[in-house]
This record gives sequence, C-alpha cells and structure tokens, in this order.
Amino acid sequence: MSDDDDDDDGASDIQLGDVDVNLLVHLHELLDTASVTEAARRLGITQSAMSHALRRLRDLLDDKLLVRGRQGMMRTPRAEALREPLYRSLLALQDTLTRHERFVPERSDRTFRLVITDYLQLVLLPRIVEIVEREAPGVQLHVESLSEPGQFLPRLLSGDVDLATGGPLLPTCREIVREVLLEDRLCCAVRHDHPRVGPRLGLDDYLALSHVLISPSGTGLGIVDEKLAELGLQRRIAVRVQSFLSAPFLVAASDTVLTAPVRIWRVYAEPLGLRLLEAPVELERFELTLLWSERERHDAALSWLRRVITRAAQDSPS
Amino acid sequence: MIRRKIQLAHVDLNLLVALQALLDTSSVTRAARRVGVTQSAMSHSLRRLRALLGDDVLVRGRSGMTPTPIAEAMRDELTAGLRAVQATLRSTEGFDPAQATHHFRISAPDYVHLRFAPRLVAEVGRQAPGLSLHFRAFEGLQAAQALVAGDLDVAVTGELPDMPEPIVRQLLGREQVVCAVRADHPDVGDRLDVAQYAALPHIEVSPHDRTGLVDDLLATHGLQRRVALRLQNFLSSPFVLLRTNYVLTAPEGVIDLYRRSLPLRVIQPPLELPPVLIFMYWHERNHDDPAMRWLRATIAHAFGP
Repeated sequence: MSDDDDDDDGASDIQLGDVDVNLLVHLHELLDTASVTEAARRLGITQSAMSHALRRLRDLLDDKLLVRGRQGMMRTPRAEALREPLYRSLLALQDTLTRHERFVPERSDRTFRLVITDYLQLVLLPRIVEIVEREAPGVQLHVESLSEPGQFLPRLLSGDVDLATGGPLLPTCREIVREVLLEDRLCCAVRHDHPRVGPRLGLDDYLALSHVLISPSGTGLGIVDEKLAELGLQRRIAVRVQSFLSAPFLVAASDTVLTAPVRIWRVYAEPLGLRLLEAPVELERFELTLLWSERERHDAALSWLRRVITRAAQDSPS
Repeated sequence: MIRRKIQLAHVDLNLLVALQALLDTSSVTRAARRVGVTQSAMSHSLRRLRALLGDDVLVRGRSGMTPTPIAEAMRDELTAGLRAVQATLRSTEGFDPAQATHHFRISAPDYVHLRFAPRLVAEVGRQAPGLSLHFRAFEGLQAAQALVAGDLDVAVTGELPDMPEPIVRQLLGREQVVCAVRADHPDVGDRLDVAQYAALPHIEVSPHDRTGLVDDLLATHGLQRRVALRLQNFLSSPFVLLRTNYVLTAPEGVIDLYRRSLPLRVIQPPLELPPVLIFMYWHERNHDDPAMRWLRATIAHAFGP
C-alpha cells in the first residue's frame, strides 16, 4: 500500500516484511463487498477463515474497517480511503507477476474460472479435465453454466472469469478474442426399441411423434420449430426442460424424440441405447467458440489452458 | 390462512347423513326409506344424534314430527357441508388421463429432477399421451412465489423453510448421499476411510459456489479435501468421473440413474451425511382439482422405489 502516496493515512510505519501480504487480498475483497460472507465466497474460503482474517487486519491497521450499519456492514472512513489505492496496487502487482511468471502446469495450484455452455460441458469438459489432471494435477477448475448469452462479457473483461465458451448467438466486442472450437449440427434420437420409428424418419413420422424441447430460458420454441413454421407445420412438444441434463434419459424412458447436436448424442447414444436418425428438415450447421479477454493474452497460464481446450476439441468425435 | 385442527375422529359422520334425512322429511319412516336403512336403524341414529347434540332434534307436534329450533338452525349448514364432501369425493373421478390435453408445470432442482423425471415422462407417455409437461428449476422461495402466482403447478424439492401459508406439502422420500468413482479406479475399492476420501480429488456440484457440509465435517476430523472441479450442475460430472480419479459426493438418485448405463462404483461416504428430504409442494387452491391430484399421484409414484 505504501507505494501509493495520495492517500497516506498514518499506516506508513507498517513494514511489508512484517505483514502477511496475502491478507491484503482478503482486505481487498472485504472492502469491495463490505460483507464477510460474500468476501469468503469470492475467495472460496470459509466464513470463519474470513472473520479471522478481518480480526488480523483490524489489529494490523488499528481500525475497525467494517462496522455494523443499518443494512449490513459499512466501511469505516479509513476503509473507504484504502479501497481504491489497495485495488490499484494489487492490480499492478498482479500484472507484474503475470507478465514475468512462467507457467509450470505440473507445479501450479491456480484456480481457473470458466463459463461453459451445457453443451460444451458435456462434449468437452471430461476430456479437458482428463488432460488437466494429467498435466496439472494441482490446478482447480470452477465451471459456471452459461445462463444468459453475453451476461459474462463484463466478467471476462474484468478478469473475474478467465475463459468462456459460447454458441452461435453470442454478442461480442472488440476487447474479446474469439476462436472457433468446433462445428456441429442437429440430428434426432429415439430409444432403440421405439415401436413406431423405422430405419428412416420421414417428415410425417417426425410430426406424429411427441417431442422433447430443451429451452434454457424456459419459454419460447427452438430452431426446429422455426423451420417447421416456415413450412406451415407444427410439432407437438410433450416435454419441455431447461437443460440437457435429463433430456437423453427422458428419450430413453419414453416414446419421445429429441432433436439435438450430434456430439451430444456421441456421449449418450451408446450408454443409453439410443438410435440416431437424420432430421427430416434442413437444419444449418453451427459453431461453438472460445472467448477470452484481449488483455490477458500475455498470461501464460491462460494460454496453456486455451491449448488444452483446443486439444480437447480436436479429440472430440464429430 | 390458518388451518384449524380437524377433531372429527370421535364422531360417526354417517349420523350427519341421517340427520339431514330426518330434517328434510320430519319422519323416521321416510328418512329411513330415503337413506335405505331399516326404521329401527334410523330410530337408533336419532337417539345417538340426540345424545351427541344434547337436543331433541325432532319433537312430536300437532301434525307429526317437527324439527327443534336448534335442528332447524343446523339444516342449511349441514346441507352445504355434505354437498362439499360429496363434491370432493366426486372430484377424484373427473379426470381422464387418456383424453386429457392438460399442460403441467413442474419445478425441481437438478438432482431431484433427475430422480423422477424419466419415470414420470414414461408414465405420462403410457397413460396420458396428450399431456404436456414443462420442467423448470426455480430456486427456493422463487418456487413458492410461482406456486402462489399460479405460474407453477407443483414444486418437487428439498425442504423449504418458511413457506407461505396456502402451500401444502407431502414428503416424497429421503435421498441418501453417496460417493461415486469410476469402476476401475486404481486406488478405491468397495470402501473408503475418511483419510482416503479427503486425499482424493473431488468434484463439487453446488449451484451457488459455497463450501458445504462435506468440508465442515472433514474439518472436524482435522482434514481438508481438494476440490479439483467445481460445477453448477451434474450434467458432465459422471463423464468426468469416467476419465479421472476424482470422486463425486451426491444424492443417491442421481448416481443411480447414471450407474445404470455407465461403469461407476458407488461407495458409502465415510462421513455422517444426513439424508436429503424431498417434498412435493402445491397451492391449496389446487388441492382438490382432479387433474392436479392425478399429477401429484403420478409424481409420487415416479418417485417411489
């Protein structure tokens, strides 16, 4: 902190050698969130560990830092004054480190935060994790599911998320680099002993079946429905789910049909005994992309992880 | 809405049917005929009613019997009450699954959804091919709000504290928490001790990115685990297990579903993890709706062993 002179507040007699500098990271999160619970969550530690850190910081800085206010905790004036300079000095420290740090996968204990679509979690994540376990056994992956396309862009830019993946409909901006990981297309699956589906699926057969629809938003229809509407046709959606999670099991347990990406079916078709059939409507191919912040291009660890993901994509059966 | 305790166990409710007939006909003979019992049975009912109510109920007047003022006052309420009971009974008859084209909206978190959705969809396909099901995953109180607002028919989920009053619930089952690794895991056999468990790399599935009960329990043994992969849902977790030496700790229903088709080994966790109670919640206004009754019964069945 002492390298920031514009907010000298009497703490200059603190020698960094006497301080657990890691505490400053705790302090940053505490000041940023004004909440022990939230700060603990952000750092992935227990609330009691964070309370302990707060006590040590209070001793060190001889200030309460956070006090109980009308709505939760409030920053003291001293804490308020520390907040911005602390943030800037930690950021500078971080940039210095990442620019000069060599990334040694087998010795790293870094945590990567990824936002990955359900689709790519199924298709790529097992292989990604397999490679990570072998090459970087100390690395941790925190994978978040993509809830709304584009919602993670600010977090990618702020460095809160390291890498993200997206589907075809993704908004983007200049500071974000995107790389095509793989292509896919839709096909249909039914259970192998489906009583009413032969070796081929004609349009009439398709429309006569009950369909499962995966609709992440929980409302609206899918690409298939739009295509059918252009032809003046409609299918019967018997079951609507929000993710891929149960959909293959629903198809395996009933006489429904699900139209979904081919690579998903590569995962489930064999274990669940599903039969794949070409969809009787023309459906375009689509791309899945990897996204990262242009500012992180020097980060050797992220470059390594990107290569792991690209390799996993190359290994994925199409 | 405050639900009062029902204290009817000591009353023979058939007496109320007799009472209604007696009040309507003002005659033991005609009342007996109407209910389809003998005259002496109806006389016996009248004696029991007199004892129960502490009132004569019917008294001899100039032209046959007439109701007492107390009995007369009971009459309308009694008729309405018996009609409601009758309607309730009838309502279970009014839903024909084979013909129905209802649209049901059901919310369940991941692990619960996996536990019953495949069987429910299969059952609906067999019994009620015209129905459609819409699965959502509302969280906690959001589900309660959706039930109250009428945006949701049923929520199947873990125990929700502080439910608003008009929500009714039913316990569907208890889910044990178990561990899973790949069947050919090099270091794990049929049992795990707590030190071995803590030493394995873990997959943690939690929607909100928080350290949970497992970590707290390990801490009581002075142990800490390494979460190598943190996910928000179970989607890819079984496939990750197949390719790594990781361990997953999860409700049994989820793991059972995957174990049927994937080479996974299920092991008792070496920690005292309490079972998860699964409840079905619905709004009181749907309680007697025949279609909703059918849906709830079918869900309960799908949840069964």
